[in-house]
Amino acid sequence: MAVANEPDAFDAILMAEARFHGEGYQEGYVEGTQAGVMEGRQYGIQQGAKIGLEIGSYLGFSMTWLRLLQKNSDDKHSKKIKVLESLIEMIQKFPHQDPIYDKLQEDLERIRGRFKQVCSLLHIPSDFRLSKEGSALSF
Amino acid sequence: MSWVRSAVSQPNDDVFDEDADEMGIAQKEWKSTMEKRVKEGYREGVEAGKELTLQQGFNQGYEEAVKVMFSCGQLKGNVSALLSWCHNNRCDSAVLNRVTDLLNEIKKYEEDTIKDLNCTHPQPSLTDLLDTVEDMDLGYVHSPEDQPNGAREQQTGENGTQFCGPRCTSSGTASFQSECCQRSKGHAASVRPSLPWLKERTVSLMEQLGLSPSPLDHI
Repeated sequence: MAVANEPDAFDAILMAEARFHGEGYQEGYVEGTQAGVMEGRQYGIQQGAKIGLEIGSYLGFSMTWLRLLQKNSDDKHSKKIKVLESLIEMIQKFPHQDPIYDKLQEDLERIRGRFKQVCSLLHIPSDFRLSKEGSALSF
Repeated sequence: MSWVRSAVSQPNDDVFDEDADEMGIAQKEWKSTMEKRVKEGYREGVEAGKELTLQQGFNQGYEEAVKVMFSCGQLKGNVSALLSWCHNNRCDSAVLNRVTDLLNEIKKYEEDTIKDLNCTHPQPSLTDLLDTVEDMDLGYVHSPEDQPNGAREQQTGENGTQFCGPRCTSSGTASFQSECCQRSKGHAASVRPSLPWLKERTVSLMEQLGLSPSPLDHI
């Protein structure tokens, strides 16, 4: 009789294990989904703030310089104006609001390069560009 | 998990059982094995749950922050351009000082805005707040007209998100929260310059430099 009962007891143990495992899983799953939103959000905020600030600064900077140069319209500015316009176009095409844009880094590097070109054409010393203080968010 | 306890204690009904010691050891073993299963399941559950929502949370935070900081960056870039232009064209020092001051204020605004962003939470509901108060076990009984402390401090940002007031009372899921909560408590909202005000000053500076303010319209 005892031998015949053994498989049942074994099944019961396995079932209990599965049940405990499942109980823990459920609890963990609920907490994990909440923690995931929080953690992801924090990282997203950091990234979004960084990209938004950088791209926004380039745009504000180049649009204002474009205005300044156009106001004092002069043929010697035409090269500068052309480069500024190309930078503005690059920024406007850049989908900075898309959190999953796959060419983000690539495009960002191109924009940075063009921005450097603009600065040197405008005779803006590199230590004077957009941020003089070495805060974590300057570039 | 009360059913565990009852299941485990069942075989021990007979207090005169000679095998009691042995049964006790077996029970302990059983209990610890099952506890291990619960922990295992919990860990796996946390991982699976996180995997599901990390990207969603990231997207949410990114979209929120990128918009706010883009405007902030535009203004900073704008005034930086004025400053470099003034340097290159040897503007008089009074104008130069005004531009420099404004730029510094914009940078301050930028820092504060980033701190605020880190303080925001996905819309805490009143139920959350009440739960938090209950969790603290202060014996606090609320009535409908008596709001919990947190709700009174609550500030609503430009974009409708709520700043950290409500969660200041919570135990804090991360250290940055307590830091920013302390800051906001000692920080009256009126002390800080607002974006429209900074914009207005930028426009007036641009006019002084002979520029029409139209590049600011879109900020």
